[in-house]
Amino acid sequence: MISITELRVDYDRLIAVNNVDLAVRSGEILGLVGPNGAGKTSLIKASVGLIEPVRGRVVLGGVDMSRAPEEGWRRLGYMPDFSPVYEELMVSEYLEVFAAAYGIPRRDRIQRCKYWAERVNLHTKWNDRIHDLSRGMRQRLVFAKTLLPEPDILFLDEPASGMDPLGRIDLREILKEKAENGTAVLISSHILSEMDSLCTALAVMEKGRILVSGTLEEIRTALHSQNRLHIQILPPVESALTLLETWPGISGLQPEEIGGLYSARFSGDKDAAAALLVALHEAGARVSEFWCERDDVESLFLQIGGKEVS
Amino acid sequence: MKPVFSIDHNALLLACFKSRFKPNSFLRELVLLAASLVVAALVSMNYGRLLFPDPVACMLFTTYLIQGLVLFIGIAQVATMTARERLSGTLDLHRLSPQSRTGLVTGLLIGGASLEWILALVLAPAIITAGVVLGLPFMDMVFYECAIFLGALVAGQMLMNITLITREEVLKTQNGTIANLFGIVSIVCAAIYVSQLFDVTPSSYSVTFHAVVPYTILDFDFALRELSAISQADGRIPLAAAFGLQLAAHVPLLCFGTWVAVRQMRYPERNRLSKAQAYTAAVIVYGFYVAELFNNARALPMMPMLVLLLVPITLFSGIVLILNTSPHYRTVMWGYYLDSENRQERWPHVLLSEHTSLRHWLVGYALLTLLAMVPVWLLLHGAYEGHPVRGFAWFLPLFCGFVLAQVACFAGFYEFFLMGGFGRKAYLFPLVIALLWLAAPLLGIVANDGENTVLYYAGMIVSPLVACPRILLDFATGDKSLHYPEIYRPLLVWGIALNTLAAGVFFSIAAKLRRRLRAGGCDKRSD
Repeated sequence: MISITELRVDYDRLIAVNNVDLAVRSGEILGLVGPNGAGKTSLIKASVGLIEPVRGRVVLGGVDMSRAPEEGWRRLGYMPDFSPVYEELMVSEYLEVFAAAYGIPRRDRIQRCKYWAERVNLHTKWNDRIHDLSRGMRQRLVFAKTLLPEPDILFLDEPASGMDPLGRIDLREILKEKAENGTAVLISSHILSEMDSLCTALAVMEKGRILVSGTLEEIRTALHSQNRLHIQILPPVESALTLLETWPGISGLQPEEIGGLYSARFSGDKDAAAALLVALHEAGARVSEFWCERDDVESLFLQIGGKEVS
Repeated sequence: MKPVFSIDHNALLLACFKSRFKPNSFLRELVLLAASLVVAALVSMNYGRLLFPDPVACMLFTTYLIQGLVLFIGIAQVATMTARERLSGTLDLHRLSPQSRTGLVTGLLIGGASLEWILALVLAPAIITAGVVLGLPFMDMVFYECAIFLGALVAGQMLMNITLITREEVLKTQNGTIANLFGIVSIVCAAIYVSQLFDVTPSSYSVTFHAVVPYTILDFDFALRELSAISQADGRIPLAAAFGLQLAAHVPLLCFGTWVAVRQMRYPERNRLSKAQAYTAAVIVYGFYVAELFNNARALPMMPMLVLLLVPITLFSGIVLILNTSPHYRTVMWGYYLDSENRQERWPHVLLSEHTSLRHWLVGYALLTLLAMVPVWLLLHGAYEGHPVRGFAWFLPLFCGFVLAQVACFAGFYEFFLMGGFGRKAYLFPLVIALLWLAAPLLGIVANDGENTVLYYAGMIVSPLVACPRILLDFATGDKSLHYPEIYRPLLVWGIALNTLAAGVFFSIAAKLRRRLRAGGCDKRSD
């Protein structure tokens, strides 16, 4: 759906995006993460056609953006990292303007605008001036504008910045729903915890280059990422600890702050975890809690090399 | 294609309308406008009373001036709205929608000053009626009104283009409205000053004056004076003809401005003009020049100077257009690409494209110049009697060829620089140009001890900046004997030969550098 090949963007003395290859499939939500100045915004701007890349190719939904950008713009929704709004207009008027921009028939405009205003929880502000809206509200408004033409490709640059928790939940729900319906979403963000619950794929960017990209599973595999095992053992713990120390796939066993709680790196799958639990039981260990967690986006990002996550 | 003037389809027009017609902003602007109108009315009433004893004529003159002021504010408003759209980022959102680029430009031009257009339109019937009541022909009044609106549209379009081209950082740091207003005032003052300098009035034979300068206010003043029996008819050219000229000039200018703006909307990062736009700009300049020449052929003693003005026009427009058609000229000029450690990687594909080479531009431009010279040559030998130039048919083509060769040499040198001919020492380019264009000829002039030395001629050959004015000045002030142009013949011949040779060398080195850079891993995609 989104295919970026050897994209390169230069600003005067800076290579902002350096030979980037990236692909987002239909129904996939790709999180683009990286420190400030990594080139995320430039990558998005060059992909949608706002700035002209020095070289490279962007194909959106089968449309080569260097050949038929108008066709591509019909299909994409773009949300910048700030809120470009007309301060003096009302929420309804702003949405109406962009409904006209996307050629939505006049008879459907109000209905469509109201629908998306409601989806982003802005319906109560329908007749309010944008000047009086908070930053988060403006973000919601621009998000609603982005979704108005029902795009099947979404480029969102820091969409959640400035949004309240409720706004973020709405954003996440809507994006998941869109992805289920086949929309390809490329989203950049600093808030890694948000990305964890939203993205199906990840691309880590630093100094204009993509360090690693793929589905979360692929990245975990590529990084030889291990699960973290947490076990709460009631006394006596000796036999259980002996078993754990000798169990294949377990390393770095250490007690945590809470009494009786231990954690360790665990390289096995779910079956291996179940076998371990049975073995502990058979060894007479009294296990009160047992859970296995995978590396989240933040851990992966830190492993890959991000240093300046805000 | 969806109609660009419909607010149902043109979103930018709709946005501008909605922004401008908000009760609060509408009222604020109306109060501001009313205050300035009252001041203008008071001033022009006093001025008008001195000029026109007839109260109806006085009122009409005042209303016409007020309408001009409203349109003037409207022109500035177009630039302000364009700057605001750019800075707020909403223009980018419109650019990413499937609207036509022409629609965006039209939306800004019409919608940006919608309030002022409407206010001025409201005044139009009153002005036409008052003029007719006073005894002026109905069609004349229609012409005056159409001319002033057309002029405002062209000026608004030009300012919009300037605002679109201006870098965002510059727009942020300056107050766009004040700067633009200042620009308009400067242009109007300069036009008035130049017209006074050359004694150009509504009775003038100058085509450019009638075509470009918004002279209708002046002409209207003359018409009213004549009507009020304050002054006699002064042999002005018929208003219909003058308006025809304005139409013939303003409509192409408006179309050209829209074309440039549409390209800016599409490729804001690229060079300002495409090759085709550069040709069109050159055609427009030459069109004015040739029209001026034909119009003045029989009347003015300035004729020979006017003919020779073709040469600096060629030179100036050639060099300016070369700089404006170069891709990424700004980044290259400042040496950003040259500073890069890995130059081959950083070179933009557009710069490496054969299509962007200045050679292509130069061939068309040279053809255009030589083509424009034909009517000049014919005129010179058909209409202008008794001037020494007439006896030297070779002089003008040779002079034009000399300047074209100098432009070609500059283009070759510039392309050599664009391709990284100076490595990382980007400062060498302006330094060499300064040496060749200023230092060498000045040294030659200083060393010229009564007799023209080789250094003097060499300086003239390498410096287009000095050669043209010097030859023209000699021509205007020197001895106009039959032998006069002869002294320049060797200079012109050597100039053509050496500059063409240098241009060829520079272009071939640049082509080699381009091939080498492209082979170094850059994209083969053409511009």
